[in-house]
Amino acid sequence: MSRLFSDRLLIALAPDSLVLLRLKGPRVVEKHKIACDPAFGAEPWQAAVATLARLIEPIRDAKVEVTVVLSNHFARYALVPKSEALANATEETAFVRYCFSKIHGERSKEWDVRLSRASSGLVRIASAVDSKLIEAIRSSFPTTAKAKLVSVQPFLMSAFNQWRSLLSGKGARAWILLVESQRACLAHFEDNRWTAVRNTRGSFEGPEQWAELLDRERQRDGGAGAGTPEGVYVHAPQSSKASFAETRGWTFSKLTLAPVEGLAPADADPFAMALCAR
Amino acid sequence: MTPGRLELDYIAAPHRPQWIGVSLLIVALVVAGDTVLRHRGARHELAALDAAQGLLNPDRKPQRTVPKERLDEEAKAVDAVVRQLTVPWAQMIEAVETASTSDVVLLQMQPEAQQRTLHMTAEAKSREAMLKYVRRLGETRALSGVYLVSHQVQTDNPARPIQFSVQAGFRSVQ
Repeated sequence: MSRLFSDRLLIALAPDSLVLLRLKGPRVVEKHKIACDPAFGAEPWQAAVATLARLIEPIRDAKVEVTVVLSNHFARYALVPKSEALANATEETAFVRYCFSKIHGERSKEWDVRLSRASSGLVRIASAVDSKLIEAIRSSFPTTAKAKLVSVQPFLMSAFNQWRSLLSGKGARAWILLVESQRACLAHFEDNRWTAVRNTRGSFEGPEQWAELLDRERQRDGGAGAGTPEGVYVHAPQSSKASFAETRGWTFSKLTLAPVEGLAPADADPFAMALCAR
Repeated sequence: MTPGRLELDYIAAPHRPQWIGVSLLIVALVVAGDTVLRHRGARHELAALDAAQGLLNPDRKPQRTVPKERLDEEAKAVDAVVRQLTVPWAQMIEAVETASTSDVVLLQMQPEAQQRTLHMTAEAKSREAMLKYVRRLGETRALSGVYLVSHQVQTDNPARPIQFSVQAGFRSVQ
């Protein structure tokens, strides 16, 4: 690889861990997983960000491009109806904030929001992240440093972009379930549009809990689609030993990442969230 | 069709739709193709004009370098022709006619342009007539260095004439 090209740092931040991969071209040349104390600080992200700052300090002057993936613990999602009355980006942002405030109340005022591009559907997906978290990550990469922060993205974005080709085809519909420690993010995608998204705290170790969550979500949706077989794509690297057997009528398909040069498949699971942003 | 990317990035600007790049690429290719065609057309036109004017021929092979030896040979040949052309025939003939007598018959006259000499073969009735003829040639203005090269009595002839050769140099007479 030419020296003109920067190395890439893929970092995944979660309340209890920070994962870092350094890639030279397609090859992983460095990997670290550092445990963090979720109880450190007032916010659940503070331990991971403090670790990030310490970790990045010695390599600030290295020519690297940094992508940070945020655990779904640090992100909220909402479906935002498309409105023709919104004239510009400012009005759109205000509307997205309004949608989050209806769900989460006053605290959403401190969140930084993003709205996905319009697709063919009438509903778009939006995300919200604590503004202080984004600011803290930015401050770890001063503009004078050679290490450049090029992306900070919530896990749902990384995962969907990694596996979106599975949802191709007219009329394709499926559930996507992203399982982390004490967290599950469930989204439904149908005919090129989002129809549901839920980011829930709890223990989701195996198919039984997944099926329970899916049943709940279907009930919330008015039971639409009950009895119709639907695939569920599951990314649960921490439950790699769990059986993906059909449970309560739900068929689970394991989402796996393509092998990465320099990283043995048996060692890849802890780094899966970061690798989704490849 | 694969669903579009989900863009919720907090740093990077959203990816532009791919069709913009594809459209730009197509336009660029069309322009580049048109430029190539125009260039080719212009070259053909230029070649046609050059051929018509006989000034240039793009397909003409470059001239090969002529070896020095060959140039020297050609120069010598040219010089030889020039010397041949500058042999003073009129003066030589006049000199030979002036020297002629009734006792000598001129059989052959051969000038050597390069050496600027004249070889003559003649037949004389007697030895005296031969010597007188050689002396008279030497007295002409056109010839110089006249001398008797050889002589031989023709014994098979009852009159016993003498066949002889004379060499003389010729002067350039203005």
